[in-house]
Amino acid sequence: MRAFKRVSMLFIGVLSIVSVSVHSAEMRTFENQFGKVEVPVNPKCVVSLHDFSLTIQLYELGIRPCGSVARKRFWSEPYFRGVQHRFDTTDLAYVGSHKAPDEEAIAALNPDLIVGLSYQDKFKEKLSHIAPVVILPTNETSIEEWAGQLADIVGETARFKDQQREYHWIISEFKRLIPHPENITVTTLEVYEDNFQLIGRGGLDEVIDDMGLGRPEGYLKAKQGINYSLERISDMDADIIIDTYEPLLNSRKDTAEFRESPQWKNLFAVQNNQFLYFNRSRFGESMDGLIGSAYLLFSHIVERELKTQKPSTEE
Amino acid sequence: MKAVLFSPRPLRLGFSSKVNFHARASDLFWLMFFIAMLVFLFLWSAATGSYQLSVWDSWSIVFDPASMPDRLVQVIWEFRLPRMFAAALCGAALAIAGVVLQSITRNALASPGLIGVEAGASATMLVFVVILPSVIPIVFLPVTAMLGGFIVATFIWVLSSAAGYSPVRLVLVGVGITSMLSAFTEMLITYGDIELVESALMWLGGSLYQTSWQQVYVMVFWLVIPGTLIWLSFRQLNLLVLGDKVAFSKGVDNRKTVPFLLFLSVALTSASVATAGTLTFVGLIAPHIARRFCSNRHGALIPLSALIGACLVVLGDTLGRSAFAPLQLPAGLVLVLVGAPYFIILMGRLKR
Repeated sequence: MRAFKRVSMLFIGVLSIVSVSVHSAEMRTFENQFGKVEVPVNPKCVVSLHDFSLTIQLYELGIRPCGSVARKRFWSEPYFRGVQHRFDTTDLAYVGSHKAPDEEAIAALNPDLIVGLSYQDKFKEKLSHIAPVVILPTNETSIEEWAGQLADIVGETARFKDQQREYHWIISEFKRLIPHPENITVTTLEVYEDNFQLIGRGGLDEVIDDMGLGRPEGYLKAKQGINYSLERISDMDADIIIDTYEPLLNSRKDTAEFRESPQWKNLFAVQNNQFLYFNRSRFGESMDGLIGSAYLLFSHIVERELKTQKPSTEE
Repeated sequence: MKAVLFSPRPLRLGFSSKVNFHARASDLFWLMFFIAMLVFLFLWSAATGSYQLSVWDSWSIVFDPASMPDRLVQVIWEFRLPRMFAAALCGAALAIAGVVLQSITRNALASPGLIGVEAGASATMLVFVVILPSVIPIVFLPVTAMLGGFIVATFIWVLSSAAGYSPVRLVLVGVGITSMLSAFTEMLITYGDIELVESALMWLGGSLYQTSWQQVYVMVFWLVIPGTLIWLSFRQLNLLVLGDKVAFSKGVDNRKTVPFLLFLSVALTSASVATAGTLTFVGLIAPHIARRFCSNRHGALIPLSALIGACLVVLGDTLGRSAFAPLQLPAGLVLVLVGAPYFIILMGRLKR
């Protein structure tokens, strides 16, 4: 009996040492543009500070975050943009808005990693009291670049490489079939009730750049993220015009009247049936967003007859 | 204590030969009442939040953090307490600034927003967030906003006193410049980059989100020094309310006293706006509520307004972070939503 006790004590002792060493080995240093952070090797509970990019990319990598910010109106359920129509989010906790995530709600989840976007660097100091905070360079680099960093942090680089492979194949196939993509002009915008903005969500603008497509003169001179009068829409006329609608905001109906106006109907893209109207939340700012947007553009430019204002050389 | 509270004779508190405060029993009673109210609100606020903690646990963490788990101590000491203290300090500062402005302009509608500090700070903040992003590091934005507020307040004072000081001119110039800056702010909000504007909107709504202990310490300095100097000037304020001529006949020269008091109120307002954004509604209502209890006796009105202002902002912030949690509502919005109806009812009940 005494021998059994000794063996048991020895076993427990060895187990403790092993578990302590495993625990200490579970942390590693991650470094990017925002500095060095000690992160867990296999995080168990990741909190995302942005639904439309980080949360969705985590799901695409096979990681189920335990908490995420979302859009929410009073007396309604939180809406995880671009996520909840693709993935089961029943176990995903809502932790406030991306401009003011609730620190206490995050602390209550007991996370071991928090990931945020460039502009959320200001939250880092306070949130670091809860768990390591990694800020990804979403404003400074491409989706591909920061998605690679995210995959590295959560240990899902293999899945990311597959996404990257698929995306690069579409781009190379596009360039093979359209040798002079710069002759095809594309405008990405969002029309609202009394103004419009130049914006391409779901990685659309990045795909357009990667495909080497051209932009109209008016688009190149204008700034993104600014509201322009609808009178200026003709400056943005292109071979293809891409707008997006948000089902939750009823934006299709709200802007229907403008699409009936002569100003709109006179646009080259509209006259030639080359106006594309996508669901804004269909794809997030993620690798699958890039892939999805790339397939859409590939299909509309390569796999159908396309009219251009400039002569285009196709294979 | 009983003798003091219910004695019909004022209690004399002599600080120096120049400062003699005659405290009435009723004033002392209301001061004690609102101190108790603030303590109650603090205890309630410390036990309220998204992280579920019992009232007993919350108080244990506040009074004996060493015996509690680190995570719980962090929630209370890093997230709740700095907000609560900043809320109380900003509320008190704005209320005192409100008392000064209402007294020197002899205008019941005067508030810290009148002298352009709020509008100046907001416009400066938006310029550096929307038009010139990344020019100034984020941590220095509140200080920049504070400087903007000071510059605009100085400009208003220079314009309104160039041909001799007049309370009406100060109010009118203040309203004019504030309207102009508000229009500029609205333009930036409407036509600025949506992502950048969104960052500034939370602050403009009067939010104590992200308040740190460092800001609390800075705010203590900005409240204690100007606040004490204003309280020590209560006799001058009592006389200024009666009119410049009466004040002058009693030895108060408005050409010296008014700019000095105005400078102190600008300092209080700027520090609050830099810490918590635009909460200046509290500077309008807190002095009016306080006057219900102590009339225009500034010796009592100033501390009482400060306590009421502190209570209002602590209440607004606690409701803002808990009512729709985890959604965080700016304290300034909650304060207006809750405070304005109460204020209207209160004013409706006034006999004169």
